[in-house]
This record gives sequence, C-alpha cells and structure tokens, in this order.
Amino acid sequence: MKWSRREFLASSVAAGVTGAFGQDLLVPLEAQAQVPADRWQKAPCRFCGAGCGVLVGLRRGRVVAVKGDQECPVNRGLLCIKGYSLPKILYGSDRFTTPLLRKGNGFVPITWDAALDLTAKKFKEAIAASGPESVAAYFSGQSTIFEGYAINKLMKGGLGSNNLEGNPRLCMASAVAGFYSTFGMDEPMGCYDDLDLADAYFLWGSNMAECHPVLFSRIMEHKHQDPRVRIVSLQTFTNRSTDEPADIVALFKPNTDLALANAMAHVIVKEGLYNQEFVSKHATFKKGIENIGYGVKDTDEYAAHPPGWAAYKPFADRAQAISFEDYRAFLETYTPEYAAEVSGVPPGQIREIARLFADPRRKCMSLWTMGFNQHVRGTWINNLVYNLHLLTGKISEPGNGPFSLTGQPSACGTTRETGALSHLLPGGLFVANPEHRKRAAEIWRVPVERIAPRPGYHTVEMFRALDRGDIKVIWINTTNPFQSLPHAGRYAKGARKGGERFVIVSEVYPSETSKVADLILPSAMWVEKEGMFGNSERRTQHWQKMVEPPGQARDDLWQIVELAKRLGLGSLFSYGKEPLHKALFEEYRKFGLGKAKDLAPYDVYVKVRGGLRWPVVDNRETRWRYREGFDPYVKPGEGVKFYGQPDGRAVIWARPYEPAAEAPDAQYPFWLTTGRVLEHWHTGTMTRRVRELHRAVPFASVWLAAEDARALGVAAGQRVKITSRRGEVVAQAQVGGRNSVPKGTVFVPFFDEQVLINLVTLDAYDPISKQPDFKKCAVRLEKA
Amino acid sequence: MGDRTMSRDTWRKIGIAGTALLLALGGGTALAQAPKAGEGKRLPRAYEGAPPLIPHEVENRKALCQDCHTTGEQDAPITPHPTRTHFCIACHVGQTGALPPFEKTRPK
Repeated sequence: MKWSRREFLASSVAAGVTGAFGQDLLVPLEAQAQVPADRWQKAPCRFCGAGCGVLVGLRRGRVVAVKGDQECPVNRGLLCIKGYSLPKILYGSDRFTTPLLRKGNGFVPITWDAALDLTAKKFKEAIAASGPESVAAYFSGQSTIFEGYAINKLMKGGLGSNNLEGNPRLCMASAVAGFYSTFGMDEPMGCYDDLDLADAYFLWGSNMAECHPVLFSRIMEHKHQDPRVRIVSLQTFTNRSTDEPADIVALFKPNTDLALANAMAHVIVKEGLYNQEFVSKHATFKKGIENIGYGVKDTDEYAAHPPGWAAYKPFADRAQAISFEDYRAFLETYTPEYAAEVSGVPPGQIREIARLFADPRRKCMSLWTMGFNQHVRGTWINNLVYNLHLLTGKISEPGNGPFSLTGQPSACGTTRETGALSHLLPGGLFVANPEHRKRAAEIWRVPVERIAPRPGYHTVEMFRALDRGDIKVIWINTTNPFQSLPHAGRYAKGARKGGERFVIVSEVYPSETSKVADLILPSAMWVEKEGMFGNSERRTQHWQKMVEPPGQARDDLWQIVELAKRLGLGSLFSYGKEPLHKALFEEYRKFGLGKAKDLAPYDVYVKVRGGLRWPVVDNRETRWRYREGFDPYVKPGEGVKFYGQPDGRAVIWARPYEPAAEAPDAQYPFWLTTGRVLEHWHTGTMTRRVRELHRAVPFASVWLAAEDARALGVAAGQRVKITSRRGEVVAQAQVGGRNSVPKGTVFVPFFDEQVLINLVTLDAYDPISKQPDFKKCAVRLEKA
Repeated sequence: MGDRTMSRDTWRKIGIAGTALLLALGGGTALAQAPKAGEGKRLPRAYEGAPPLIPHEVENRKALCQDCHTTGEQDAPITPHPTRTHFCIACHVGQTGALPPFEKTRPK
C-alpha cells in the first residue's frame, strides 16, 4: 500500500482523523509541499565531534535539505537523525534578530553600535579599575577555527588576559591532559580508519550507539561483514551500546574503571602477555601525586587562602620516574579479585577481557568519551587505557589504537588546536613557557610583555570568580553554561548578583544563559557564515557562507573584530586587502608549520571535500602518527617514535584507584549519572526547535531500576523528585527502554531546560585537567 | 529475547486479532511494536530525502525492526537499504503525537 503524502492527507481529512498526528493537517498543503534544492554545497555537520560531511541543499536563500556527503570519508553518505535535521535548526521561530539590552526583568532592542560600544566600555572600565584578570571570555567547541583563533588573539595578545575558557573544559580537558602526560602532545595518533580495521572494540563508559551513531554504524557494518569482530562494552548501566551489539558487557560501579584498567594491566603483565620489545624501546614509567582531592572547596585552588587572583595557584601534578619493576609492584594490588570486589565485575570476566585485548592476533581499538573525561580522575583513566595499548604495543598502526571521541564539532580544531583555553596558546604552546610566549608575540606582532605568564581561571574557577565578583565582565559565546555547568544554580545566581558584573551573551535562541544576560548579541550560525571545524581524528574541514542570517544577526568573528576596534585593538585584525578569513588562517598556520601540527593552506581546505587530517605535509594528510611510513615526522629506521616527549618514549603511568568525590549514603542513597539521548544535542537549544526531534523525545526522563520504582511506589510516566545537596528537579520516571540502570542508580539526560539536572550535579573536578565530573553524585528520590 | 525464536509463520497465524493479547502479555516482541489504533499512517518527511519517521512506538525496540521491515509483515514498508538494518534508529525516530513546537510552549 503505497500512498503519496497528498493522498494520505486527503484520506485523513476525509476520514476526519483527529488522532495522534491530526495537527499536521492544520498546516496548509502548499506549506508541506517540498521544494527541491537547486544547489548543493559542502559543509561539516554542526553537532558532535564525528565531523560528518553534509551537502547542503539551497534554494532562494534558504537551506531546504541536507544529504550525507558520499565523498566525505567520515560518514560516506550517512547521517544520524540530528544531521538530517540540520536545515531546521536555522529556522526556529524565536531566533534572536537584534541586540537586546536588559531593562528590569525584560530586554529592549538596541542597535549594534550601541551594543558594541557598551561592551567595549564595560571591558575598558573593568580593566582600568581591576586589571585584565577581571574580564573573561567563555567560548565554545562549536566556535569556528577562525573565531577561536581570533578571540584568543584578542584576549591574550590584545587585552593581556588569559581568562579565556570554553565549554571543551567540560568535555575534553581530561583527554587533553591524558594526551600531554602520556605522549607529550595532544590528540589521537590513530583515526577513523581503525573503525574498519580493528577486530576487537573496547567501549569504556561511552554510549557510542547514541552519542556517535554514525561512527558506531561503521563498527556495526564491519561486525556484519566479519564474524570475528568482538565488541566489549564496559558501562555503568546497560544501553544501546550494550544489549544488542556487544559480545561482552561488563557493568561496573561508578569510578571503578580505574581499578578495572589496572586489573587488565595486572593480567597482561602477570601472564606475560605484554610486548617486551615495544615496552623496552618505546615506553618509560612514571608515577604522580596521589590523593589529589576534588576541587569542591572554593579554597582548593588558592592553597587554602581566601580565593582571589593573587592567591590563585591551580594544582599541578608532579611526575616521578619509576622502573618497570616499580610498576609491576604497583600492579600487585590490582588482582582481578580485588578489582572485582571494587567494581562488581566478576574476576573471570576481567581476565577474559584482558586476554582478548592482549591476544596478538587481534587488532584492538579503545573508545571513550565523557565517561572517562567527566571523571574526578579523568587524566588518570585516560593514562590507564594508554597503558594497555603501550604494554601490548597495539598503538599507532592500522587497526590498533586508543581513540578519544569528542562531543563537539570543533573541540579539537578550535579550542585545542587554536589554544582557546586559559593555559594555552595556538599550536600546542603554553602561556607559562617564556619561549612559547615569545613565539606567539612574534606571529601576532604584539609586545611579548602583553601576553600574561600566569594561566587564567579555568572554567569552574572562572564562574566561581564571577560569583565572588572578582570577574566583572564576561562574554559568553556559542554555549549555554547556566544549563551545562555542574551545580548550575549557584553559578546562574552568582551571575545575577549585580554590582559591577556585566554578562554579555552571543546566542541564536533564548536559553538558560540568555536569561541571565545583561546584553544579548544575536549570532549567525553554521552556514550563515564561513567556517572551519576540526573533528576527533585531526580532520580540518571548511565551508562557505551559504545563506544570510535572520534580521540583524551577525557572525561571531565580526563581533570579535568590531569589539577589538572599539577597544583600540583593531590592528590585531587588519590585514590590508586580504580577505579576513584567509588572512587569519594563514597567520594561524604559522604556529604549527614544522612542529608536527602542519595545516594545509587555506585555499586547499576550501576545495577539498571532507577535509584533511593533520599534520598535512606537502598536501598529504597523516593517518597514523608516530609510525614510520605514515607520519612524515618519523624518520626512516625509527619505526615508532613518540616525538611529543623529549626522549621519544611514551609514559606508562602508575595511577591508583581512588573513589568518587561523593557517593551514595543513608541520606542520599542513589547514584545520579547524566548524559545524552541520540535525538538531542547538548542543551537542546537547537534540536528541540526541530519538530521531528522534539516529537521524538519531548522531555528528559529519569531512568530508574524496576525494583527502585516499585519501592518508591512510582509507575513509569509518574513524576519523581530528584534531590541532592545542591538542588532538585522533577522528571518523569522511565523504566527500561533504551537504557536500563542497575538498582541504586538513576540516569537523567541534560538536554531539557525544564528538567535542569545540573541544578543537582556536583561541581567536583579532576584537579589535573580541571574538568568537572557530571557522572557521579548522590541523590535521593521521592514520588512528586 | 526468547520471543525472537518464534517463526514468522507463527506470527502470521496469530494474526492481528492476537495483538491485543500479546500486548497484554508484555512488550519486547515484534508484534508489540506493530502500530496501535490511530498509529501507523506514514508521516510527512521533514523534506524530500529526509529519513522516513516511524509512526509507532520504538523506545522499547530490541533488534526487532527487521522482523517486519525486511518482510513487509503487518504492511510495514520494506527497507530499501537492507545492509544498513543493524542500527535503524540512528536515522529513523518515533514521534509522540501532535506536540506543538517547543518554542511556543517553553516558559519565557
């Protein structure tokens, strides 16, 4: 029975359908009729870090369709439903179309000139009265490379303030700290080709099936073709990445992945399954500081002094060299039996997983995202999974490698690579290093004294400083911290304490963050501007501006440059006759050339469908770093060289198991963990404005175990109040479905502004990476 | 998952009349996924080329899509891309009734 839409509608009308989907009939047929696109242009998807290529269908100045780009090697023509929904994220009916200034409890429209003059005045006043450390910018892994580079130059090279952070601190910081401590250099050595070449996949706390569906489909496609493929899913609850696709499911208690990874190493070393030659040639052993705390106290980063800029002294790890024998002794504790006791995973299963990993006939890929990164020991657990790959030598070669997945389209390309965090400069340089400051000052053509040597406030401390009033002016751009920060209630309240505080928010739609703004700047999004993103596998992709933004909305790069002009820093962005985007990118490229971070010229990215993976040397991309024959920085005869480290060797770290910052107790007896659903992205500001996605998942539920629901007297669909020591929310109960949580655990996605679960979460963070842990805190539940 | 071992012929014999009974016995079966009354009509696509939406419940789906969508059982549309049937719900999503647009209902 094949019906056209017109016939369906006609028959529905005739039948007087008022059922579930009746309301669609209110939309006139003409409006539902599809307009074919008359032009298709390439762009990367603007959601997760996978970096799928899309072709954007355009007609009469509007985006009317997208299709997956068959020529993009990431997705080969496939998209997930969020990607297919891209055209509609531009056209929500409540886009910001004019600058808005707070007046009492509401906002009044003002001109761009007035808005930018006011922003510049607030920045200048704060700097004059309280120094450059009293102003801040909080940007995003969704900012383009141009925007990230420009705001970095303005803040650090122009205003002399290192208070530049971005939401990748909530998302990727532990991965960065893990890469630096183990390899001395950021970002994965492998690439997505490994998804087709490995035959054993180890998913650590990552619900990849929902959060990176297109990449996961590559694994599934491979499994479909090759019956030898095994998927091992290590999770704290069962989900779409466990029950159907996984061959081995290990359910562990929160934070005990540290014990599990060490127990796998224990088995590998004890049973002699490690690669002796690889370890002796390419690894060293270290240990760091232990019992490092959780950053929950306001004085933690101030050596117990009253918090303030002068006393700000963030924790830093100190490494100590040890021997293989010391490491072996360290592993003695982590018998499978001990890890089983801690984690709840049976010792036999731990041995089985370790042996599968170490099997020399197997090619192994480890994959993780927020389960590892949003972890009070995030740096450690990143280190520990690298240990497994280094011990077995399964790294930096086709099919073998650890792979850190990213959650934002340009957390890598923008925030990590352009150095848009408080301690970084572009191209993997650090503000604390005098040589690095000198190099940045030369490229930026600014006096070297202007770049401050002390790292600025990291994200949690930045919002604590805003709460205290030490930060007076903050520009929040392309992100929604008052929904996405842990313990968000405190920080939203802090932002509205008044006094000299002034909060500028560049946004496209009303959000929890625009709610607390003093000034809202309407931004252009995605293909309403030219951009470049860098995905999880070092792939840089470019797109052209294709349509005009609505009303007076302007792109964020324009906003940065106009603000710079009003701050008397217009020379930072004046490049004569050269187009701004090209000039900025060519300048930015200088940081990485010859430093194993080579990017291709701007004009190459404009042309190449699907982009290129850096280092790009002589227009050739690099798939496997640190390996002779693939990486142009490894000389003939060297084989493998981890050249990020001075001795060319990667570090195997002895990192212990330590418990979470807060665990269930008599008063708050449940674990709360948070995350995503496939249909929505981040705080839902874009995806919830797409009708099909909103109807697919209209609200965030709280997933409960059946026995817990029974004990509470709550049926599925009834309301449950979730309370922690920080705050409370009410959500509808769900039992089963896509997720099944173990007894004593609840899961709530964070996309829903009506179920603001981050009022409840704990602002504990990894003291090394400064990334908060959104996955573990204690709550109590009541029927609401 | 034991339900999956029942043959398609068995399903055919049970027929639509048995649907209500099976639903009463619990979900997790292909037939429990079958459209209920008022569901099952094809939905308008977001635009030409967008993936078709699913007009029935899918939250509790456990690897059962193919049982109907490779055979045409229950008048289900047969998938045109049979090699990509192992993760249908990455692209095809269910729909909850006629919800008004989010931006019309969010508290200001």
